[in-house]
Amino acid sequence: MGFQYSLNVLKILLIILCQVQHACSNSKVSGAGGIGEEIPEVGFSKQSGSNDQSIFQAYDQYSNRLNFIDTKNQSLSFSQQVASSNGDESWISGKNSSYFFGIEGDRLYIYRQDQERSLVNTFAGNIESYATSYEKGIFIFVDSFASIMMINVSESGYVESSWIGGSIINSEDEILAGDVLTSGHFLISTKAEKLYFIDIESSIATQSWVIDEIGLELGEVQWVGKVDGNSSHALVFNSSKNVFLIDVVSGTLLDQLDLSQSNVYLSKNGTDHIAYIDSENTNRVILGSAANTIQSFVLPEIQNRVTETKVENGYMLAVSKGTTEQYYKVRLSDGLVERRVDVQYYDKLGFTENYVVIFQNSPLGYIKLINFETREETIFSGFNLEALQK
Amino acid sequence: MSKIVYMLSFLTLILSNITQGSTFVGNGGSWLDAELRETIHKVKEVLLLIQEKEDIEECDRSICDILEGLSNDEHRFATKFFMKRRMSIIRAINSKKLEFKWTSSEIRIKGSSSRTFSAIADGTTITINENVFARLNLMQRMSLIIHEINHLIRFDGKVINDNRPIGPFEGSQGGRKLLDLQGVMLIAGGTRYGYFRQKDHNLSNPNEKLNVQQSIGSTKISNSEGKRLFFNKLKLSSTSVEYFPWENNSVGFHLTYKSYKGKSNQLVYSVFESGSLSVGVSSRYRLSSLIMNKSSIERNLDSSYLDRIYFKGHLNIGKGTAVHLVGDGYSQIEGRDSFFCIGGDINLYLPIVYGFWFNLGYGLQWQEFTIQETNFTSKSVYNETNVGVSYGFSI
Repeated sequence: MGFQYSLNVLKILLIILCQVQHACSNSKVSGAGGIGEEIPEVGFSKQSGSNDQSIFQAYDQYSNRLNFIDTKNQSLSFSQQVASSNGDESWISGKNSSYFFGIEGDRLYIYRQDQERSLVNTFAGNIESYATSYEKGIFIFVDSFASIMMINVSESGYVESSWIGGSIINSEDEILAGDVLTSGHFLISTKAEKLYFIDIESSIATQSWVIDEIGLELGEVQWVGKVDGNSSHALVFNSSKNVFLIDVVSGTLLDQLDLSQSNVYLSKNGTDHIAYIDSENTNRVILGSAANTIQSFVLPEIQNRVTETKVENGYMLAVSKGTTEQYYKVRLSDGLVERRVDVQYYDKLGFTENYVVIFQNSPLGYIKLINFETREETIFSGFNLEALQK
Repeated sequence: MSKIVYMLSFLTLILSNITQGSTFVGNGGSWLDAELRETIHKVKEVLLLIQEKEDIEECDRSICDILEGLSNDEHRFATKFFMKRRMSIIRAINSKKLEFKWTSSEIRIKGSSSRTFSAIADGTTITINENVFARLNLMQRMSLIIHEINHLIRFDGKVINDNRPIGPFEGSQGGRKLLDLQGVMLIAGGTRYGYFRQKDHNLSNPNEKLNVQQSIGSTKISNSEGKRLFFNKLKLSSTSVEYFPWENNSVGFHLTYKSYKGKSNQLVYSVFESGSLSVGVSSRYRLSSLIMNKSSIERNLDSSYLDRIYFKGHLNIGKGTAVHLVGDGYSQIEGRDSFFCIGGDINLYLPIVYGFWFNLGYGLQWQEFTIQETNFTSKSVYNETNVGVSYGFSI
């Protein structure tokens, strides 16, 4: 074991932003706009129901079902067979994978344990993003016309109540961005540069928008981020590239940061975070905090092009692509690159604070978990045999 | 279980039919009946070929040396005796009263206690020692038959005895010498007309006591089992050694090694192999005993070939091992299990030459096992077809 990386190798920056596509010109913003996060790629999605239990799910075309990998318990489980016949269905897990949604273009389905999928709603446009509070069973889906469907789901996956509303509130203002905070508050911003809470339960009950304005004027907010550790805190980013840490319950501004001279990358992978290069060409990442200040960390330099980042529990996980794909685990408090794992080839891949999860395109089934800390490998293989034999 | 009962019933039925028999020619039961029938048939055919005495006086075979050693009187008497009685012999053969019996015991005659005989004629019955007959070649058998039939046809109102003089054949063995000469003349006559073809001599004969057989074939397994194997057709290979201890009995024993193999390489690669060693009983039955003796087509066919065609059934029980491997580029699963098997088959054997046979047949095999690693369970009865080659010989 031991540290296999060399700091000499970690040369040029974690230019997360400049290296990430769409962020390579001066003062650009990547990842802004909309509610929640984008619908995951077809066939693969990752879910963190809670920070201590990361469950990855990947569609397996050979068994026509989802494989759920629980990295904490190092266990593999399966969904019932999904109905994807043309291979363009994406999935979003509910709490602990006891149910999950299937998204196929403009159609939203729900899969419950050992049941065939049932249609929840057919939207006018394709479903493009979603926001959720797993713990409270709240899911919000947004289509290409910015129609917003709010759903309250029971533990066993039954839709208890729902309502779909348009993007206009107060007859004249239009919803621009938003997310469901860990407290269950649905925080939105509007083109009129206002911030509102949407009362989900009341809106569903009255079948109309029930809103409560937050008396903060923060400009045109394009992105809303959750803050771990304090459910009433939120991180927001406006069109002037200012970041604000606010307390949405008290309606107070806690801290702010000007990123107008930076390339900015907004991410909801793991803990919502913002990565950027400051005016001194230093790579940084910022997070909200339970305290009243924005957390800012300087990042070490990494050799290759960084394609993806994830922040979890004080660590940033970065993926860089060279001849092989490398996974770095960086401690944010002091920029220590604790581990590096090389992966040569894979079909689908996910990573958490402690594991890289590799899904291979194997008819019999092959999933490998690599422990960041020990580099020990846990392999699940052959689990599709029975499905193939049917 | 019902499948096994069905299979056993089926095979038992086959074998019971095959082993059922009679000691009488014409009933088609005893293993040597067809050989005897072929011999009698050829005696009759050769007698019909011979038209004049010159036919039996000259020949170019070594057997004719015997004729050269006769005195003129003996030769003349034997020739006249043969020519005069040949039609009587044909009538005797055609007579329904003529009856043949087999015996496995030594044949002795009162007053000749020190000697055993190949056959004996009494009234209208000829009793033949099957162990002797089985070892004789065709010409020897024909000589034996014409000798014994001559005992049944009176000469000058008297039965011809081996140990009494007759005509110029003097001494205590005069009768035997004359009747033995009848066989020699019969062969000489047949030889003159080219009756004994070389190909008949080379043609494989089913009387050999030991058989070594190699067969290949295929079997199609059930769809449900096929899905778990990723293919539903298996190739089979079978090697067996058989021993038939009795000359005139259809039953023998065999030791067989049988293997099944199959593989596919599509979505995943899958390889299955099993091998089993089994022992069992064999039973053979001639085709001619089934269809020829009751029909006039006998006269129109080459009975030398048809009489050699036979069926053989096998029942066996054994033990084996099966291995199944499934894999792709990332992982491989392998498992094995041992099993008991029971099976049987029925094969048709067509003679080639020099002891070699071509066989084709149908069989059933049951073998239950579970390879847990690959989730494969074999429960069904395999229906299989096979072709092969066997070689028969005696030590």
